[in-house]
Amino acid sequence: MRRWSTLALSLVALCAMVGCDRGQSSRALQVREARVELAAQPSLVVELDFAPRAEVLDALSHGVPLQIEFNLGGRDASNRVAFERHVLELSYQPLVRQWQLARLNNGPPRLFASQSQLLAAIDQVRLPLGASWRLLSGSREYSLRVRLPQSSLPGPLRLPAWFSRTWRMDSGEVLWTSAA
Amino acid sequence: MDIRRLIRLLSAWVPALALVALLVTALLLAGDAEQDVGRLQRFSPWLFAGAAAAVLLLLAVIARRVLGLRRQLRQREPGARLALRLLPWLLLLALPPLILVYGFALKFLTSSIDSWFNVRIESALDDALALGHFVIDDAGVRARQQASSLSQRLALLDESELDAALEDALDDNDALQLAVFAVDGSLIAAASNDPRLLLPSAPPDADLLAARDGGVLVRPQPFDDGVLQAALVAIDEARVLRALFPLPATARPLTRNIEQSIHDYRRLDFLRGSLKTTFVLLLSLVLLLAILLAVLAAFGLARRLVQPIARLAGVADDIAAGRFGEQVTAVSGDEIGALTDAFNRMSLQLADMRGREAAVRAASDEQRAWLAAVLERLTSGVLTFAANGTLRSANAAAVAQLALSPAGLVDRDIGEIARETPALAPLFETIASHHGSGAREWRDEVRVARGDLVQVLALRGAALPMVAGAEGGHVVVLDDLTEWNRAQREVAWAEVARRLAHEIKNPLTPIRLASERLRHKLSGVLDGERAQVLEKTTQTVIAQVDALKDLVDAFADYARTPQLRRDAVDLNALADEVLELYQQAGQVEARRDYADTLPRVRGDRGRLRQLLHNLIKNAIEADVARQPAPLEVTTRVRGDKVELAVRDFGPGLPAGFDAGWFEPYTSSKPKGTGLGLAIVKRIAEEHGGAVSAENAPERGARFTLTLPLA
Repeated sequence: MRRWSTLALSLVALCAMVGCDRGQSSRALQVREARVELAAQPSLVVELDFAPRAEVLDALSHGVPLQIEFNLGGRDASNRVAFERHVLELSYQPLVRQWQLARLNNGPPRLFASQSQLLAAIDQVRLPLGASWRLLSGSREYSLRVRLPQSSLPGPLRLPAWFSRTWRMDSGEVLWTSAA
Repeated sequence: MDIRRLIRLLSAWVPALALVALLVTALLLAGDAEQDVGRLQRFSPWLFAGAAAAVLLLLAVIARRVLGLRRQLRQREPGARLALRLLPWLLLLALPPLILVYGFALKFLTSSIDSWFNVRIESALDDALALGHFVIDDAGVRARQQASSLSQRLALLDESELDAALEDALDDNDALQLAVFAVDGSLIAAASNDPRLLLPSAPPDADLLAARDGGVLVRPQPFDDGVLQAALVAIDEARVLRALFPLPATARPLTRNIEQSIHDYRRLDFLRGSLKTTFVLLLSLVLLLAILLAVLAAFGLARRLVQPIARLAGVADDIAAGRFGEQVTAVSGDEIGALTDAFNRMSLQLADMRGREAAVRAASDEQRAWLAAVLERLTSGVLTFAANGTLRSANAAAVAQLALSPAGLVDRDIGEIARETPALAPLFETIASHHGSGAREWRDEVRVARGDLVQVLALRGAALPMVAGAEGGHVVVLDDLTEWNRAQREVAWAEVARRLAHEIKNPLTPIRLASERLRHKLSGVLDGERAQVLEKTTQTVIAQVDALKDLVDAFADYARTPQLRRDAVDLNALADEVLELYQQAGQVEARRDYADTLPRVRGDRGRLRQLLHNLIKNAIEADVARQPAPLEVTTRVRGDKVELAVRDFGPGLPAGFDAGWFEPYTSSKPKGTGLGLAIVKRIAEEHGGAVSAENAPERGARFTLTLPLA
């Protein structure tokens, strides 16, 4: 029995190590500042430090689209909650020789003549929010997580990406509050 | 269900489940690797964790099997060593093909993936891309010309005329959309030929400013599944025209295909390494799975192969320990099954033989016991000797006859026995001589001195039959003839006594009467001297006749075979009665030492009285120097016997006194008949008793009569 217990504990420890390692935030993608503007058209304004490694940029230039997922959650003092998910896709169009930034399935893409312009456009992102965000009132708590979902990568890349830090881009949970 | 049973159940099923989990994981990941959409991506952590857990579990199961085998080896369980020898061979059979297939699969995969790419295709695609660029650029030139021309015309119009002018322009050009923007990006007027472009989106501010500053910006942009040329040109300082032109109809599908192909090829080229890595990982996982499976299968196969042999070995151990008849269940019809059947038959036959052997042994033991019982009850002594001359056995009669201690003599050489028992040396030397002569049967007689007794032994020897091809030795039967000879002498003496009594006693009375008559007739006739001679002579004759008569009576008494009239006799009273006669006559001075409660004996009072008379007379005659003769009479109870002893205070027993002194006509006294002690012995034996003699501690002799209790 003692041997089985030791084995079970070892398994748990291994899983915990893998899970903890994968849950860590990445320096390649960090949220510098984020705010929610509740004007007539509520929007999320995020300033990012997006510095992918050369291998990632190489993949982008070879036609591998990169998706950046924004998951925003909010809760006010009355425990009203709202959630929003946006995905931006970065891609390269070889025929027109332009770099494209698009909100997935939502609106026309923005085109850039160079990769640096594309990356500069990611530095500050404004994403529209739904009407439910206007229901939040008073003091509000927000959480935001920005990451590159590995499930969006092409199949052959997913397994190596799972073991590689290069493809591990995750800002982690970013929390802030907004006064009334 | 108890915990042990649950663990056993899990131990049996967990490896199989783990193997299935690994296999499913490998298949899912392999299938997912080819897909652009990662359906299982969100399960990847769990898949990998599950796979790792399965691998660890399998390793644990294998470790458990290894430890189990180690324990079996230490405990020397049947089949463990064979299993240990089989395992490496089974693994040697299984692993090389696996590694070979793994290597070939890796090589094949990498070669196959590399074969997807070659320089000519890449060059062709680059050329196609350049061609596409040329077409697009050409379309851009036309778009630039048309947009510039249109902007010049629009510059002459008011804003209210722009919508109509743009509509007209659409008809004159092949533009899909025409739109006029203010420099701040607000839309002033627009017209479109494509319903997908009804709502123009504002160009980037930088483009608007660049166009206002005099430049004509022509930029291709993706649209739906094709490409548009977007031309941005300033109408005046406040307005900018944007015109979207499609590619020529014939070029549209070509450019689309070219872009798609370039896109796919470049992406595939970039993913080549990742694809190889993915398949290497998956193949490695499958290899690991196969190796673990091979190890487990090797354990299982070794156990399966060894199990029947181990069972056979276990039952063989049982048989070696004497547990015959154990059976092994045959689980296969192959050679091992045939071997098991043969083993089972052998086990049954052994059990049957064991049963028969036990029956034979029991019969033999019974026969031996019977023979031993017969030998033990034989009055003749029986000695058996091995062929090499060692004593093998001596029955109870032999032990009693020879006063042997068989424990110390059995298995000893006959020569050694002769040396260690000097008194019996004549016996064993005689046996040894016959043994060495090789005679099959022989007879002999030896005399051995046993203290005061000379023992006469009749020997009959015979060679024993051969046993299992070996000499069987000898058996010697001993008959103690001492008593037989004595009895024969007694019978002879009785016959002599009877004849003496008959032949001598008859003339004695006439002789006595004649002597008395002669004295009576002549006593008055003869003178004094002659009369004295006559008187003296006739007296002598009469006295000698009386003496002869007494002697004849004694002989007759010895020869007589009386009919005993048995009744309960008080020996104390009888002894008093006889002693009283001698005391009154002043012949003895008796001291009595009687037992207080002496049981009565069954006997003939008259014969026992005669016995006492003889013993007292013997005591008086032993001490003739003293009148009255002192003697001591003692009675005692000894177990189931009664003793009566008469002790005199004379010189004691003569030298060389032995059992022969109780035979007739043996006496140390000048006037004794030699029949006194013989009669005593005869009367004692008539009553089932015995008489013995010994010297008293200080002086004198003691004669002891022993009689059984009534």
